[in-house]
Amino acid sequence: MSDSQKPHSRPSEIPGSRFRSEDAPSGMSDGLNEVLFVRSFRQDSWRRFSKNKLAIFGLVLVIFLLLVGLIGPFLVQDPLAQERLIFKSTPDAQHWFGTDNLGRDLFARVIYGIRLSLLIGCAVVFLETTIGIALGALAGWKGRHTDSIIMRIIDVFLGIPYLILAFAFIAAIGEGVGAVIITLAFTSWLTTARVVRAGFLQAKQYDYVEAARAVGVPAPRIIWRHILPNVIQPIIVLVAVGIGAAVLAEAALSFLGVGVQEPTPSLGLMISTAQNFFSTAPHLLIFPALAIVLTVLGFLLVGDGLRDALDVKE
Amino acid sequence: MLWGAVTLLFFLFFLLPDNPAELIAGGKGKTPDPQVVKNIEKKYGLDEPIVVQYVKYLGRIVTLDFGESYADGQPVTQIIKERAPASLRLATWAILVEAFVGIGAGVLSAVRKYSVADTLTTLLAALLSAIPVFVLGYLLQQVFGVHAFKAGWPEWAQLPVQGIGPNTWVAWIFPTVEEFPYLILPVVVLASVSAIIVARLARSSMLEVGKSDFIRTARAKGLKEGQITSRHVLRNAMIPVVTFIGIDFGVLVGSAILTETVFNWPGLGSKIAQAASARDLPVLLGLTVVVVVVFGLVNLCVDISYAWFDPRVRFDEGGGQ
Repeated sequence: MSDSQKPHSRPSEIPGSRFRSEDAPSGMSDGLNEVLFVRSFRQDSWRRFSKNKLAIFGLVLVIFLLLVGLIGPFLVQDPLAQERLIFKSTPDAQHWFGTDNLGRDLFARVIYGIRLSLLIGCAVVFLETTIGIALGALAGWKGRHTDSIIMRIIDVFLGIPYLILAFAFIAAIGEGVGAVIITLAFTSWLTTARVVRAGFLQAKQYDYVEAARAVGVPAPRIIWRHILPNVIQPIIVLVAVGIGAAVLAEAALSFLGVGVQEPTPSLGLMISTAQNFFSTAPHLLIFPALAIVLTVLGFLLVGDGLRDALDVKE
Repeated sequence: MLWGAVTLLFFLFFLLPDNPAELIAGGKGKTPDPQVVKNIEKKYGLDEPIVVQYVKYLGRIVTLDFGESYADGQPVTQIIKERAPASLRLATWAILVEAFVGIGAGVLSAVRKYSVADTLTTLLAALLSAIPVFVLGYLLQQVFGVHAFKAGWPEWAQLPVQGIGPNTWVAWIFPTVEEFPYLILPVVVLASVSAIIVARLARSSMLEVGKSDFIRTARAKGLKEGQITSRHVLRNAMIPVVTFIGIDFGVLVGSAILTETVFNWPGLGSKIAQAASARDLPVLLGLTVVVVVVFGLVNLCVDISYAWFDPRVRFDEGGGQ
């Protein structure tokens, strides 16, 4: 984080309602020390986050799924190997989730699917946040024509429903994992850019930014050290929620046949295939669907928890 | 704005890596006769520079001519005429259900804060926003289509899961008795995700307004609690909710594409999905332009409805508030 001299919570707030006496460590009982006892913003946020049961549940879910995605593929069977005698078999000891319509191990496919979902989610959010911060910062810092051009572009993008915009990008770029990542990143940076721009417009007027400018600190340094830390909290929330949204969007695109293509194990694609056998082999649909729901749910809950803990307004 | 959107979509669609004429002539991976390709290019004007194509396209859509489908030569305008009513009916009912159920649940959980219903709404909201629309659709199809039939549920609980049925309507918008069952599941699926967000938004907005000074004044005047809630809190709390329903229309379109595909509903959404995977560009572009125009109109209506909900906003007084 930044080393700027911005006090995160003012001592005058402390003897009030939020800090009860049992919060202070022992040996800090005399008045002066109690006033000086300042919990860092990060500790404070973590305390609020950890009290939120749903958020902790989400965090556990996310960590579990990350482990599954990282380690799982080394432990399971080949997700592409076909066993010609057992199509659509129900779960047993050999195939924990059964096999799919081509006799492939569904457990392995779901594990690989989760890994792909997480990979796409993280890559999309990384790109999206980078584009969003860059353009938002440019608009907010430069102002004038740069600002109005970027805002116009955002307006145009926002005027097109999300999935339709994604279709357009897919049509231009092609299909497959890389195309999905680029498409989703290019269609979802708008919120980040707007948040960053709003933060910049506000922060530009702060005295310490003015002071930094007056003493001749170069612009990139002011942006990086003094303004960006101000907008980092809403961005953290957007990152958590964005991964969940990207996982959902990837599933939707793959489901409609314009996203990830066979034989790559993608959860959306598995559901799309499974619908044909739903009445005879419902497990083909239920396991991938459950994997998507848990992944998205985990990230959304963490995002919601962070929003409350960091006190970010929507 | 609209022009920008159309331009963006046009160039995205037509800056394709593969030549559409070759796709029409033979499909992917085949090498069709070059003469055939040339003829097709000529027919659709694809041999001209992209800028010329673009200007011509703009000129044509002003006269509501969106070209013809690459797949079967059907004029796009005709596709729109045939399919738009089904989509509009589905979307209208979904928005109505979304608004009434969402606002109702939100008001309920705001009035009875931290009650069982309130907690249930919060949990349901988290869960429903994580379920992909198409998965929800299949689950409901399975329960009310397949399971209800097998388990011998009463007749009214066995719902059709595919298509639009007899497609008979009274006064354009109201389904007849025979049509009604076909409408239930698609509307429920389409409305569910947004309804739950509307509910949360209405709740937090109600609680926020409930704290304000004029509500305290109303209490001090001795108004009944029910009157305060319905006349004072509700009306002021609706502003962000209505904004959301407008913004959410974009999400609704996306969900409609998925819902219509799952339920085989003969609307614009399922056609957009088909056209996208078949690379049927004129259809895709034409339908998309229609959706973008409707999206713009919806947002305009939302802006106008502010004045009704919040008389402080007036448009006719030189922009002053």
